[in-house]
Amino acid sequence: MTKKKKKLIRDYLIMSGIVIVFVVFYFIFPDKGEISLRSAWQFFFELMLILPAVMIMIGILSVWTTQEMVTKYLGKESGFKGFLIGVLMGTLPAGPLYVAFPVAKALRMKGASVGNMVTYLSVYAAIKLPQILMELRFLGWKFTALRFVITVILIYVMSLFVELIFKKTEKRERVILP
Amino acid sequence: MDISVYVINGLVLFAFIFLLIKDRKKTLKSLKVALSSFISLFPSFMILIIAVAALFSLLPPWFIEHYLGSGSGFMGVLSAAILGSVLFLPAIIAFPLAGSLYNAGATVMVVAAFITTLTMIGFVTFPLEAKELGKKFALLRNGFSFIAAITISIIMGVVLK
Repeated sequence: MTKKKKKLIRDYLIMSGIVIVFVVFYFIFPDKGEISLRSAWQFFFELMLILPAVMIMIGILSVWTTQEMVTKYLGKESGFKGFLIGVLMGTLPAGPLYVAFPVAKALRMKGASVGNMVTYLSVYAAIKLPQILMELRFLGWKFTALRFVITVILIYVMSLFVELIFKKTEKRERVILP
Repeated sequence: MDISVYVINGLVLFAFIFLLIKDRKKTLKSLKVALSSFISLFPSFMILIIAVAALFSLLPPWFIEHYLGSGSGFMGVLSAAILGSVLFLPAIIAFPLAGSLYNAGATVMVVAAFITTLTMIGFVTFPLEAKELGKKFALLRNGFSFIAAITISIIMGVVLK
């Protein structure tokens, strides 16, 4: 908590510093400052139209989806069904990717396939729900839909490849799972 | 105003009311999480807004077109992919940034490569990933993700021409 608070204070200090630099810049170059102030304001306005919604989505997802849920549903499934569940479980959580590493580790201990771990992590990283909302707003539905579809297909291919490589080498190494 | 604003706000409002009826306490708790994630992300957003606004007014108009636009070719895609792999930026921030690059003249391919590597590949978090899931797994996942990102961007560039 204190570490988190420290980071928060640091972030707000950096932000204040940048605001001050911007204000100084504005007075030194009034014409350029005018243009950038206008675009900054417009950018701010655009963000504020959806940021509260995205934040509430993050809040809902982080309260309603738990690690237990992910390991319960994804732990024993495999094959294409496992992949589909992996996609579903991956789109639901919120948070940075490194938060998902321990979850993937727990999955492995529960006996999930390596392919499922790849699916879960990759979907979590690339196409989780709060990100899709932002992408929809700033890059349009065509871009978002196309990237979603291609990404899901490629993640499937990727999970097959990684699983195959692990199977081949693990036979040789006889790695014992924890 | 863009229709996506209505869709996004409507969707979240619907989900919120539905869950509020289902479990009041839990849903109100999610508001708390929302507020605290807003507070922790706010500085990043402000920095992004100011940096983008200042940079775009200082850079000559041809700059982005030349380095990230249609003139940049495959080198533009490759450098966007590498930049996206190395940068450590919250994904939520990446999309407005990508949107403004796109509006300033960057190609679909460049934007797709940038956000896909940014979200899927963690250069900074690689040691953590290797420690938690094994070096082999981390190498394979990040390596394949890079190839996937380039493939995604090429397909998108072809389809959304």
